[in-house]
Amino acid sequence: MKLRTTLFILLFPFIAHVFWSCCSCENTEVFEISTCSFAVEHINNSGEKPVITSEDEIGKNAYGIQLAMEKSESLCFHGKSLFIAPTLNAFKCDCLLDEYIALDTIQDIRVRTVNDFDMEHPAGTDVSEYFFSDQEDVYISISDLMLRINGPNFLYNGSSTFNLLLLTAPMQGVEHQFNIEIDMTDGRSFIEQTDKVDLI
Amino acid sequence: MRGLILVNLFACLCCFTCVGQDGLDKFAVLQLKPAIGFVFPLTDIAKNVITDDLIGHESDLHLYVQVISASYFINRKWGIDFNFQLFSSFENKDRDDLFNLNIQTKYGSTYFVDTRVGSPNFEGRYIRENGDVSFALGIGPRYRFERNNFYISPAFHLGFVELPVTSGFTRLKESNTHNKLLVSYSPKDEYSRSLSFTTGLTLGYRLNRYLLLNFDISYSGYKLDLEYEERILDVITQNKSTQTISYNNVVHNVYFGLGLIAEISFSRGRILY
Repeated sequence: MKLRTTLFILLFPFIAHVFWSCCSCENTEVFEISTCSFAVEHINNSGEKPVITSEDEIGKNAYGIQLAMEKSESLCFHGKSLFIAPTLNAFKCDCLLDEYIALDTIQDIRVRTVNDFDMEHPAGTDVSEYFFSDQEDVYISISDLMLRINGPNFLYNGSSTFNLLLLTAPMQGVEHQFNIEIDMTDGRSFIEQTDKVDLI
Repeated sequence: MRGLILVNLFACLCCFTCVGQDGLDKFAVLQLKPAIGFVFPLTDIAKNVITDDLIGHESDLHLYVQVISASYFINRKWGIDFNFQLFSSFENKDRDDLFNLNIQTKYGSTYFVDTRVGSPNFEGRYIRENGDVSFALGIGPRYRFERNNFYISPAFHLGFVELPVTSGFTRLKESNTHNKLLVSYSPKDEYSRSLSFTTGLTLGYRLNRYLLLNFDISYSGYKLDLEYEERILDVITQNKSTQTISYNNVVHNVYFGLGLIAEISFSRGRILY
């Protein structure tokens, strides 16, 4: 056998791998996501964008609550590549992205006032109707937020915090505190309480 | 304007009639004229409103570049002239910044301002849809007279002027509240094209058989027909308000320019010199 033929046979797997890589995608991974707990923080929206704050006083027309989901991810599928160099690929355009599957989602969020809010909403009543989520150029109600979270195009990996902005200022008292009740689709419920804050 | 079009058509017709009298190509001359000069605007279209800087129009002294002006003389005196000019400013004005500044001046005391001009390109960067350069195009009859190397040539053009227009958008967030306003400014049409008429005089001196040095003076006028719609949306209440901003000025400009004329003569299809 001639040297040229021998070399070709020896190098053929590597040449084939180069061609294969042109059509190959990076390995797609599938993650299962479960919500473990929630954290709530005060938001001050008096500036250009809402910011988390630990201040005791916030303007009553610029108050909000940030709800952060604390999640756990488990890798349940790791794609396998062929050939000997698994990292070699050309990122062709129609490759699939990593997939995130939520094992549980939020079914409902309710905000209850701990103190008297206004004449119609004494301590312990539901004031969810006053809180809206800031979605770039539109404020949506909590019920619409639930539809969005449970909709088909919601990406769990990208949005794990929600800003709930108080669009109607309290009429009674200065010191306020809120309980956030979250019902999950798997039957679990969470109740988180904000720190006391003076809405001035 | 309809009258001007009829006059221009009649003048062009006269030129072709002259061909029949003098014989085709006997005195045919093709002139190409690159030039550069100044524009003295006699009209300021600015209304001192926010949309002024969304229109690519200069209201002060600026430059024009005659990219091409071609005349085809079909007898000793008469010819058809085609003219294309680009206009640009002396200063490198950033109209996007001026638009942003106007928004800041109007709303900045109570709102945080986030402004965009134009449309996003494939990289997501906002750019003006139609660039920032205006131009004029015209066609019409030209008369010429030459004696002792001195050359004089009046002309009349009908055509159009195009001003680049773009859209603007601003997101206003009120300080100390959740209030947000979305304000947009959209032109009614993608382009602002206005029928224009130009009348001018070219004075020249023949340097040799192919080249003439020329000085141009001309006047042009057009009626602007441009509308912007201002839409304000209150994000919380979803209240919308709409206002129309109209630019209906008659714009008058005077041009002074200097250039060279390159001339080629034909006789029955052959180049004479």
